[in-house]
Amino acid sequence: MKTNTRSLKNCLKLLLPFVILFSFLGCDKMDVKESYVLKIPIYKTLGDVRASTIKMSVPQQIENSGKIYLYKDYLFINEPNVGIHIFDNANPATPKSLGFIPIVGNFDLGIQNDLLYADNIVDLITFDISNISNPVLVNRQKDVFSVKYKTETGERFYLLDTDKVPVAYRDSLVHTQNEREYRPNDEELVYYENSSGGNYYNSGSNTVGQAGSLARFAISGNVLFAIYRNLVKNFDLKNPSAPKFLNEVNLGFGIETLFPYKNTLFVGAVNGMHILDITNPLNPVNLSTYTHVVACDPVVVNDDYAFVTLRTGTTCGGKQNLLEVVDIKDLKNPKQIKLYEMKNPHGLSLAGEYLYVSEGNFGLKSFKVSDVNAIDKNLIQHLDKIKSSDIIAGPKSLIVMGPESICQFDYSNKANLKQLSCISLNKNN
Amino acid sequence: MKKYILSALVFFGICNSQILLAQESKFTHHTEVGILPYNLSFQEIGVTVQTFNGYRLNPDLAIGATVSYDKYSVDDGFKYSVLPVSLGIRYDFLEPKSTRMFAGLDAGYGFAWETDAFREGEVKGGLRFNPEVGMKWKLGEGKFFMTLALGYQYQHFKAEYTSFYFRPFLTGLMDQVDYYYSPKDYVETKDINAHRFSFKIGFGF
Repeated sequence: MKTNTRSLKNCLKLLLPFVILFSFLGCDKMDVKESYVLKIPIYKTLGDVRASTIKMSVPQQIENSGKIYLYKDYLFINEPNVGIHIFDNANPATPKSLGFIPIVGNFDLGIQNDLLYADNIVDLITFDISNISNPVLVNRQKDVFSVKYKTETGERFYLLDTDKVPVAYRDSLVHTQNEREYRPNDEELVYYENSSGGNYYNSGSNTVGQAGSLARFAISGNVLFAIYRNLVKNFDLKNPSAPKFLNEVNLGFGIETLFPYKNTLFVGAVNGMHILDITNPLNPVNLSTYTHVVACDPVVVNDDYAFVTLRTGTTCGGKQNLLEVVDIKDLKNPKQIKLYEMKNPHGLSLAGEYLYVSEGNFGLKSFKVSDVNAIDKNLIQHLDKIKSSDIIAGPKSLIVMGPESICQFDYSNKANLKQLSCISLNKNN
Repeated sequence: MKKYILSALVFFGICNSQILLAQESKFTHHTEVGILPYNLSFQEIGVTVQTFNGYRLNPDLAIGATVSYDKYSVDDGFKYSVLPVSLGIRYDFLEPKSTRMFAGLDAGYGFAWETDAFREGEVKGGLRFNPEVGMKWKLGEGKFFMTLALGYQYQHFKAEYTSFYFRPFLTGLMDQVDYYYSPKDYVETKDINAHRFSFKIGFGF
C-alpha cells in the first residue's frame, strides 16, 4: 500500500511540467492572407502643407462631392479632403466652372463679405475672394482644430510641423500574408485617438452665403461656428480677415450639423437636436436639448417648427428612416408633433411652406408643410430618378447634391420642379 | 441547422449511455465541464463541456466516442463556438483503487461557427485534439467516480471574412478617414490554430 502511495506521489510530480507549461504556452497561431483594394495615403509633413502656396487652378473634374455652398452668384462645391470647386452660377441653367482651390484636409467652408473660411487639416484658413478668379490666402489660424493624438511618446493635443499627414490617396491592390500569434495582453495597438469628429459650416446684415442642411460651418452675427467633434467652436470675425478663436460649447456626443435661424443655432446630433441662443454670439447659451433615437439627423427650421430627418447610416447607427416635426415655439421646451415614415432621408431644405427632402438613393421629394399634421398627405412631387443627399433652396434655383451629380431645378412653380442643369461627378470608387 | 443536429447528437450520446449502463456494465460514461484558458492569467477564457461514452476493453482501458461543445475567444475578441465529435480513449493507472490517475485522449473534428459576429464572413472548424491527465476518485461503493484533469486542447479554424476589420489610423486628423480607409473587394482568409490548456472537472460511472 505504501509503495502505491509513493508511486502516486511520483506521478503527481509528472503534473508539475504541465502546470509550468500551463502558465505561458496557450496562444492562437494564425496564418492570415488578405487581398483588397485600398486607398493608400501619400504623406507630407504638416510643415510642408502649411508652407505650400494655395492658388486657384484650372477647373478640375469633381470626383466626390462633400458640402455645397451658395454665395452671391457663385456655387462652391467642397470635395472632401481635396479642396473647393467654384462655379459661376449666375445662370443656373448653365453653371460655368471657374476653377479649383486645392486645400488638403478640407471638409467644409463658410463665406461672409467676400471672405471664405475653410478648414485645412487642423488650421482655419481665410481667402479673400473679392476677385473670384484669384482667391488669395490672407490668414491661417494654426491648430484651432487640433484634437488629442496618441503617439509613441505619449498623448499630445497638437501636431508638430514634422508630423506626417495624408495629403492624397491612390488606389492600390494589396495582397498580404502574415503569420502571427495572439495571446491576451500581447498586442498593444498604438493609434491616434478615434472620433467621429471633423470639420464643419453658414449667416446678419453681412453678405453671408447659404449652406446645405448638412453643414458643419455656420456664420451668424460676425461669428463663425464650427462643429468639431463634440464641440461647437466659435470664432470672432470682427477682424474678418483674421478670425480669432473665442470659445467652445461642449454639446456631447455625435453633433453633426449646424443650422442658424435668426438668433438661434440649431445643432443636429445623432441622439437629438440642441438649441443654442446666439443673441450674444460671443457667448452662445444652450437653451434646450431635444432627444430622439440615434440616427443621422440634419435639421431645418421656420418660426414655429423644426423639421428633422432621421436615417439609418453606417456612421450614425440608427434603425429608422423618419421625418420628424418638432414644435419649437417655446425654444426651451421643444415638443415632438409628428413622425412620418421615409425611405432614407438625408439633407432637407425649406422654402416658405414647401419642404424639400433628399431621400438618398430613393430620389427627391417635395411636400407642402403648412399643415404639419398632414405632411404625408401633401406630397407634391417625387423625383425618383435622381440620387440626392443635400439641398439648398437658393434664390435662383433649387440645388440638389447627390453622389452622382449636382443638379439645379427651377422651383418657381413649387408643384413642378424643372431641371435646369446637372454637374456630373466622376465618382471612381 | 448544423448546430441543432449536433446538439441532438450530444443529447443522444448521454441518453444512450444510460441505456447501455442498464444493459451492460462494461460500458462507461464520463462527462466533463471545464475551462480553456490561454494561461494562468485566465483572460479571454474559453469553456468546454463534453461527454465520453465508451466500452471497457479491460478494467483499466476504455475506448469510445466523445461529443462536446466548446466556446473560444480567439484572436482578440472573435467568439467561436464548436461542436466536436471525436474518438476517445481513457486509461486508468496506479493503485489504490479509490484514488487513481487517468489519462484521456480525444481526437476528432470540430464543427464551428461564429457567435456575436461583427464582420461579414464564414467560419469553419477543423481538427480537434485533446490529451489530458488527471486524478480519479471513486465515489462510494458503486462505479461512480469524479475526476479533475489538466490537459492541452488544440482546435483548428478556417475563417473567411469579406468585411474589413477597421483599425483606427490617424483618425484624429479628419472625420472621413474611415471612408478613405475602407478597402474595396476585401477578402481575408485566416487559418487559426488555437492552442489552449484545459482544466476540467468530471463525473462518470
